[in-house]
Amino acid sequence: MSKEVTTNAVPRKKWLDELTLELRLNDFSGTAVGDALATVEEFLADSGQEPLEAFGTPREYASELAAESPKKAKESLRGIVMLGVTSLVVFLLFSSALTPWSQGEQLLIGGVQMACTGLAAVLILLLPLYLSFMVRNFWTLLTIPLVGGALGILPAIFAPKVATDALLVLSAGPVLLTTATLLIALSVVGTVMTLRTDTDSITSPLEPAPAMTVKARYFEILTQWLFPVLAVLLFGFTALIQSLA
Amino acid sequence: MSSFIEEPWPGDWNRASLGLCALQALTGGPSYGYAIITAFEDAGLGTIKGGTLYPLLTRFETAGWVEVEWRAGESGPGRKYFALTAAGRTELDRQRKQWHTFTTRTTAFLATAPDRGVLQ
Repeated sequence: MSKEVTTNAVPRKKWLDELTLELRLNDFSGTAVGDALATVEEFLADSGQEPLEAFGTPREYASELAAESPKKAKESLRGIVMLGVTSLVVFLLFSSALTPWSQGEQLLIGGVQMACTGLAAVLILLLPLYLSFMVRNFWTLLTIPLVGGALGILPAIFAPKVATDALLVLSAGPVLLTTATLLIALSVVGTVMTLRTDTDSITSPLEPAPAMTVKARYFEILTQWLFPVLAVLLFGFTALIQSLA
Repeated sequence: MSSFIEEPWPGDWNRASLGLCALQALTGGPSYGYAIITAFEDAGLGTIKGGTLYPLLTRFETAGWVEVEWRAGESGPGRKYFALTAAGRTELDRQRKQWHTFTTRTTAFLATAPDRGVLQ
């Protein structure tokens, strides 16, 4: 084994970044990720080898480490993502009911709207099956704005103009109230999850875990209330437009 | 050493003996990944990759056979030291006896005359 000084720092950093991602996808805690990264860096410094030569691909190595590590019952990345995406869908329903409500009209839902909502629900429910693939293949994330845009534009284009064209006619008020309540409930759940879990940041085994400042913790909690805040802003904006009109 | 011995051992042999050898490498006291691999090389056991050794040591840690301690390096990154626990020593003794019996029987079998030891 040679002890050549490596100058190939960029591929090494990329390999370590990919290992971090793969370990997170295997539900490793921040402490465990920090331990694995430090171990790899220690070995590379000792052997002078490149990470691919010594450890194989990040995905293979993370998978082998995960197979030998104790199983943890911790809140996974998928749970957090599911909560965020569900909040997004509820927010979209809230926003679609807001204009009809402000104009004293009913919320008209046609076949295209129902199909798009159903498709979005299926895509969200199946998210755990393809989330890892999307995170590993970053280009696939481009499909999110495309699919999201299509699911947003198509219902608007094919929105029923009169109640007779609609499959479902709902009172906009109750929909608005229900979605607003759901948004708050989801934010409460997110806040509780945030407070009950450790910060789980990646920490080096030789350094004490950084104390999470109150300010940083507030920011973490604030992100859980992003959609209710946006809903209030949208409500205020719609009310302003109505008053000006 | 002859050139024959310098040849890489069949991967299956290394895989079979690696766990036992890794436990043995810690009998002299706590050690770290690269030192363990170097000890294998010096003993003529072949070159083991870090990507093979560390998951194995992680398994031993999960099983309670080794415990780990990080020590700060004088320069560069720190080192993760692995040390045998009492359970690890017991396991090593057990596996060592089994290995000895197995290799003794294998050697005896390989030395058996062609007309003995197998059904005709």
